Amino acid sequence: MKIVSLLLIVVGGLTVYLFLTMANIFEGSLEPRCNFWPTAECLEERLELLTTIQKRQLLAVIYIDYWYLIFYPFLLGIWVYREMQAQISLWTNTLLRCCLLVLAILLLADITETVLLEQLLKGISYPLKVIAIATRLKWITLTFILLSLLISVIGRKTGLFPLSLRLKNRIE
Amino acid sequence: MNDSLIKKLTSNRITHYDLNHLMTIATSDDLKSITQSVFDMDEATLLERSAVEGATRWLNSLKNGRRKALYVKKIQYRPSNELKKVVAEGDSWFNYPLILTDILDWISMDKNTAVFSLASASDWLVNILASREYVNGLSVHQPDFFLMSGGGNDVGGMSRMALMVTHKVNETPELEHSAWAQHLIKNAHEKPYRMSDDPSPDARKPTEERWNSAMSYLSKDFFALMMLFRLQYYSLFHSLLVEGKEKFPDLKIITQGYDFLVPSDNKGWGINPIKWYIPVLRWIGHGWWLKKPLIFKGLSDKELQLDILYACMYFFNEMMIELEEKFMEINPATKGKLFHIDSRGLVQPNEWTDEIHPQPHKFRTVAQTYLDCIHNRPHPSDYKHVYRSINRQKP
Repeated sequence: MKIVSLLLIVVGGLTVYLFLTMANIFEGSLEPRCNFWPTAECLEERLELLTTIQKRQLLAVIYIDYWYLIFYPFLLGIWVYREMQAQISLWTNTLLRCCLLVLAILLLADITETVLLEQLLKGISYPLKVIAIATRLKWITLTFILLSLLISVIGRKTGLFPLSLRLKNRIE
Repeated sequence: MNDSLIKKLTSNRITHYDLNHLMTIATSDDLKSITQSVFDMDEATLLERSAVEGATRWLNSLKNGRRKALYVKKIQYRPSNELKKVVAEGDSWFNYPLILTDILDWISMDKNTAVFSLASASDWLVNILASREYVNGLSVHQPDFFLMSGGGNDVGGMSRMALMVTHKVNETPELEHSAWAQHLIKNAHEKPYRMSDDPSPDARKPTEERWNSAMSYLSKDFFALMMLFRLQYYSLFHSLLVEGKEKFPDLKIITQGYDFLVPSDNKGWGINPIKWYIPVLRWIGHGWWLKKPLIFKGLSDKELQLDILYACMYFFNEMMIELEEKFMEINPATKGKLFHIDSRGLVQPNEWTDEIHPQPHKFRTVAQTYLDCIHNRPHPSDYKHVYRSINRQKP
């Protein structure tokens, strides 16, 4: 399987998830809002609903999250880097270089979120506010990266961006 | 006879006539002997120390692998008369494998230019010429242009900058012993220092007094290295354009002149998020290429350091320009086959990623100069066979 296909699956899957979550939020459902933009209160409510068995089950599979944490930022990073080196426009080149930094923030937010969730499920500590911030940060950064990729890829494939430059060229 | 000329060269006491003579008669053994003497180590040790290994080698090959795939795509799916094939060999200005978009990256984005890259970050000219990887590359691909960027690491690698200067003022500057270097200044398109009526916009150009001060610190090793570069590049041009005339009948060569480097050990922290990569990349060698070696020699004055680097890059560029002129004069059949990219004055002191690499937008301007040269689009400010980057900046 070509790496590009793998990247497409990973980023495509995440984008669909984001899209569906957003759609649910706009329909007024509070459940996905807690996934996407949680507060300490909604996290606490959810935690109270979990039974001891459910907590144990979650703890048993949390190692999968760590593998996911290693691979998806790495693959996303490769894609961003490759796209950056293909961008003729200086501003999209710079934007994608910024995305590499944002990706590092995303990775940190994701690690923080997972580590703290593990602590929470084990009953060691209850840093609900920090988890809420880390989750929000995770989704903001991921959205930023995906949007930047989208703009850059569309721009490169269609020559649509930057519009002002195209307009300037036409006038000249 | 060669031995005595070599001795004179390495002690910077060779006449201009003898240097030209040595250039045309030097064998590969002579070049090895001079290299050994200039670098003060035998060839095997030098090649071992300058070899690109480990993670750098792996990252270089990753980037070159991608470029090769793009090259094949362009040749396969976009064959046209306008498409120019290019083989490139060189250092980190051609292949910076992390975060930065370097010259070849920008050139590769041009739809009418297919780039096959052999370049490696931290490669030395001596290594490039010894491995002769480019010969196979040129034979296989029969490109229209061969791009060469070499020499920077021979000066800056292994803190060798310390050898380019003396720790105290030379009462008689080495420049005065080198008729060839004086000829370079006479032959130059512009004076190396600012005249009283000079409207030059180049902020790095020192006054005559500062230029003379920098001159008094350049060592004989610096001039010997410049002369060695001259001999090495001559041998490269000769092997490809004269001896290889039948093999590469339409080949043109473009050489790289770098810019006035800025010695610095500043970590580059700042509040501009767009420049986030600067402090990250400054963990790699920054300060150890230029600034610290100069401090080792007791040259801590910032202005003096800038002027010394200005002088080094001035001579490197003028050496390349004069050599190519001379080569085309000696071999008239090669006229119009050698070009030089002069990027001096393009990158301002605050526009460097680290001591020796510009920020990506400046690499882009240099790449535009290469593209203009490849596709024959001269600018009014270009002269002779020299394409200048400074007037190709976009506002």
